[in-house]
Amino acid sequence: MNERRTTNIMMQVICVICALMVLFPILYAFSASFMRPEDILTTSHYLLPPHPTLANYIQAFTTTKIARYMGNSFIIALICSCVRVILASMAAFSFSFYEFRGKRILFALTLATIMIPPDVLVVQNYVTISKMGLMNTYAGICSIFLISANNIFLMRQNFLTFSRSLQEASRLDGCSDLQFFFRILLPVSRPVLITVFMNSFVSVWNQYVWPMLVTTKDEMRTVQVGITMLKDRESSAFGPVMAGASIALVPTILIFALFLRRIVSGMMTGAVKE
Amino acid sequence: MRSSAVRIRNRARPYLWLLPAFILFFVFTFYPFLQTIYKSLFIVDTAGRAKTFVGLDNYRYILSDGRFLTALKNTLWFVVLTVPISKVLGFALAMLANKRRALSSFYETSFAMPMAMAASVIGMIFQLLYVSPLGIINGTLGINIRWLTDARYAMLAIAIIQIWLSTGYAFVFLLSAIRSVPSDLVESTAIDGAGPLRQVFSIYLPLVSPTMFYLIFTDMAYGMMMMSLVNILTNGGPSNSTLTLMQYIFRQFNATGNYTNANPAAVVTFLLTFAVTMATFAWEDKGVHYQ
Repeated sequence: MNERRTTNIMMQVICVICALMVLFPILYAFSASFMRPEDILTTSHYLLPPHPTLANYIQAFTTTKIARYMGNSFIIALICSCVRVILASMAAFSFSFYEFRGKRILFALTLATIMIPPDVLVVQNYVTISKMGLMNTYAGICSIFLISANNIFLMRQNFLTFSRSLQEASRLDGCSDLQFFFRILLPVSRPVLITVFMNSFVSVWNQYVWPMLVTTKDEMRTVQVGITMLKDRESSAFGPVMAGASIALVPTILIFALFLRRIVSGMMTGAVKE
Repeated sequence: MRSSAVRIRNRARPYLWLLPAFILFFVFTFYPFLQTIYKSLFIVDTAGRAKTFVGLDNYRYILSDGRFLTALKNTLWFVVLTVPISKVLGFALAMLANKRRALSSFYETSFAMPMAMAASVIGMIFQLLYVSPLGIINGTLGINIRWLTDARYAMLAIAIIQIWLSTGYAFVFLLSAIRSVPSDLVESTAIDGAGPLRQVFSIYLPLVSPTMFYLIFTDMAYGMMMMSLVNILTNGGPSNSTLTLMQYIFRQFNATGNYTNANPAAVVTFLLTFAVTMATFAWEDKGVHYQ
């Protein structure tokens, strides 16, 4: 008994040490963001700020529009996540509650989009967006993130667990499909809607390549693109960069710490082979 | 008359629910995909319009372009460096965290945290860690490697960041796979005298192999498309040692407006990614055990 307790404690100590090693880059960035420039790269290799200061944050906010970048990222992640939840649940509703001609082909096409990496399409989508005059607009940045076949697939798997008799019963009660969708199906599917929303939010928030391509105006940049402007490759002013990085990390870390289990269970559905 | 209108409306209903999703799929996935293939056979002007049909000449050009071949070699090397190691580390962490203990929720969240990180942010953090000679990595190891500016180490440095990022992802999936291994199976082999190492190889690894397969499959596809880290940290340098396929494509059209080379390069990248990921299916037949 005693021996088991010792191994238990030992294992936890090992795990916590590993956890701190994994988190090290993040923790160090937070710590460095409070250091004076002369304390960051020294021969003493400080892990904690010897003279804590907010100067880096002040500089990040005054030399770049980081508040604006954060706002842009929030708006874009919010729009994309909401649209994804709505459009994916609509499509999944059709795939799971109706029988119609071409259903299998349309579903196969939906899954096929997973096989086409979005990065390969970037060139052509860039042309499309600039032709539409959507460069430097929220619509342009959001455009390619508004739908995800993964979400449709996940929601379909979820909707299929409801029996169709639920829909038939509500039909007999004089409930239209629209009412069924909004009043019954969506409310009972709240867990999966939250999963899709949180997942989308984190993934859109973290996007870099596309938002960088379609924005040339500073005030339209997202935080991921904006903070890379805090420093050029050669300069060694890391303090403000770490402050910017810390600010950009807060929302995703919060979402992840609070919703990890839900996000994970949502992702698993796609991975499990039927 | 009215009844037929109702019938048409009823017939159309499932398609109407799908319409918005398919408009977006069409405009931003199918159309650009077909356009990319089509335009790869043409000389394309700087506005992206197809001008002169040249057949496979563009392909011949990029396949004999030294930089494209370098990019291809670098990308494959990146995949080889990152995919296996991150899976081994993810598996090791998942085995460590398998049993639920008092502090489980803390270290499970910590192990998973890298997957919530943006490549751009984490790239800049590692840039600080890599500084030579005063950065934490060189400092604590007592070495002096110019991680990001020495052509011999730059790709390794980029790969280490990617390993860090994908280990979290692998951990999350493997943890739930390991936890679904039936405990009586583990106990019965323990009674038969199987040590922990034997258990790992004869029970856990075979039973999590479908998850492992999924992870390797998705991570290879992702690795073939890697661009954000090199774009932020090295811009493909030094002397093209970190130039990846996507970076090559990006340089073609963003820096020089050269769509003529960007389109065939994108098609080749897609085909290669497809081939590499399909190759994992060969392994699926042999090494993956579905219950």
